[in-house]
Amino acid sequence: MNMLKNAKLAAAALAAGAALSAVPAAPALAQSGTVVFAGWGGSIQRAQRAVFFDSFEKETGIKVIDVPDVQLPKIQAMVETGNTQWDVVQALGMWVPQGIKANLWEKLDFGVIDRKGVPPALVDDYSIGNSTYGMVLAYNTRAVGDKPPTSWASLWDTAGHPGRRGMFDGPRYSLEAALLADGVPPDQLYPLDVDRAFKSLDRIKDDVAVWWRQWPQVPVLLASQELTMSLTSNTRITSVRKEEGAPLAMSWNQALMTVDFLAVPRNARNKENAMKLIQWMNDPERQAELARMTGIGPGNADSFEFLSEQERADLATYHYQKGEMVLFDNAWWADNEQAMTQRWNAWKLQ
Amino acid sequence: MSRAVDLRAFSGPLWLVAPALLLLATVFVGPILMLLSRSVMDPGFTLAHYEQIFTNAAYLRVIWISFEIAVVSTLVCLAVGYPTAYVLSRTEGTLRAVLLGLVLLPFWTNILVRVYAWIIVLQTRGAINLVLMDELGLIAHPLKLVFNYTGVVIGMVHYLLPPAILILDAAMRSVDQRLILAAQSLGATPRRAFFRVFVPLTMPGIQAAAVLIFIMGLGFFVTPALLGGRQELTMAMLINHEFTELINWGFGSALAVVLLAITLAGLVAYYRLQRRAGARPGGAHG
Repeated sequence: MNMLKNAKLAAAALAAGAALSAVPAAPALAQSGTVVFAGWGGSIQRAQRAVFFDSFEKETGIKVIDVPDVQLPKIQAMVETGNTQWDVVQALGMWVPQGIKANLWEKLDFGVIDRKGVPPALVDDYSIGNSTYGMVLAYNTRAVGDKPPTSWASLWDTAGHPGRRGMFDGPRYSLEAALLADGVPPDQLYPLDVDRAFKSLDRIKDDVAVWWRQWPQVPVLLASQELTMSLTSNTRITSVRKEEGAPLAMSWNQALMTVDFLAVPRNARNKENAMKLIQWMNDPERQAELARMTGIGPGNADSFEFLSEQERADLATYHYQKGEMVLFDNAWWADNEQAMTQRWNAWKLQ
Repeated sequence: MSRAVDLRAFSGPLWLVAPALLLLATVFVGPILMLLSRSVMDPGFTLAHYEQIFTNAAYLRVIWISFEIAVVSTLVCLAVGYPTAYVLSRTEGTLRAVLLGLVLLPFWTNILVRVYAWIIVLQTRGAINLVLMDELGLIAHPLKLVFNYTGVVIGMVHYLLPPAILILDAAMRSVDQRLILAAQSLGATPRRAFFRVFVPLTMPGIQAAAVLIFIMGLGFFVTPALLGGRQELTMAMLINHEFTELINWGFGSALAVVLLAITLAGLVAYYRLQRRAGARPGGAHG
């Protein structure tokens, strides 16, 4: 249903783009054409439109058609049916190794894309890190009083840190939090000791008030004090705190950093334009602007030059560089997610 | 209320239904066949996916939970919907329009909006608990109304009530009121006339509503995902996850086929029931 809608949208957009490019282009816009970007949609994509796409169109004359609801299965379906409608996709970290395995990506052109400011861990032949998020321990400052939680161990310590707890209902991030809470040193986290993780989870299984599945739920539950503390994404907490003035805070200590990458699906129709758009989105100054608007960390570390100390403190990239965070291991999860999900479902129904 | 179309009575050219059949074949039958083949080809023929479903205790538990939640929601819908539909079917004019509007209003509201509204009403510091605790002082500790089984059933009943009420209302309005009057004139008390004459006459409506709601209830995933707790994992949630996050299409297809089979079993049971009712003297409608 969604896929059909998006395909239709993209088709309509492509048709519109084709119609536009059929009009004799003004000399200044000699390099006309289109590029289709698929992202998460919503407020993030609105910010990307404002920071990246509008300026890209103005500068290059290439029209950016941005569509929401990017998903790896859709990319796979497009590539397999020989009908790749997306030129640049925003990819969840795990999708990169999964897509390499399934041969879904084009190689990036590093003649066009400048990887200089991007940490080596965030770039490979097929993808380049573009935005970072922190899976943090967030809490309601009023509910925790003068004893704010400081690490995953606090979430597990129901006596020392009373209150209602929330956890993500899925193995990703939860297993990491369970191991870190159990005393595993951050640099020895991967490969995950799965048995130990589930044993650690057993200890809080019945103390978790809400096993949530939808990310937007969490700031609401924390703000209304339905929950005292929960694992969640830093950007949502920051935006609710800024926009609603909710008494929310978070601990970056041992938080997990996840990264969204930009990649080009195989046989994309506007490959050349795709490389140009990726380079445009890789620009440190523009990434700094996006970070200021959304709290999403930059993939390009050079962006910090353009941010104040206070602005940096809201960003995952910054806390990662300070050594507070652990980098989420996409390769391990790409190999193990199915088995972990099965084990998770069996575990939680017990 | 004729339920079966008699083809012999239809003398027009049959090719008129060809476009409809073609549409059904391409957008309905085709994808289902693809789903079936995905579930047993990976890439060669295999029953491994089905074996996994039926030998793993967790998946059997998920099938059972989905089934149980659908049955409980159906029973609650009938219990709440029957009296509501009775009142609705007895009214006319503006009052009926207003009541109908009240029934349909939630029906037209987006499911996510409804679910989030329920969270606000049902949560620990939600409207219900605050009134019961602070205003009335009836309870000392908040009731656990959401992020558990109770929350899922409340959310699902809220979603499924409007169709239940509409079907029951239609069945009740088609009952000939003179039959109830006749029963009473023959000495039945109003209560007896209601239970012995009116309720049996609305039985086809009750059955139709029950089957429709049960089948709809089997496929829920938004409501249990948001209002449920650790234990409320339904088949539809699992299928959604296998397709959109794990890219495990073969296993997702097998789960979908099992769900489809349960749904069809429900339908077959319904038609059996209908046929038996139809065969009873006096129960037929020609």
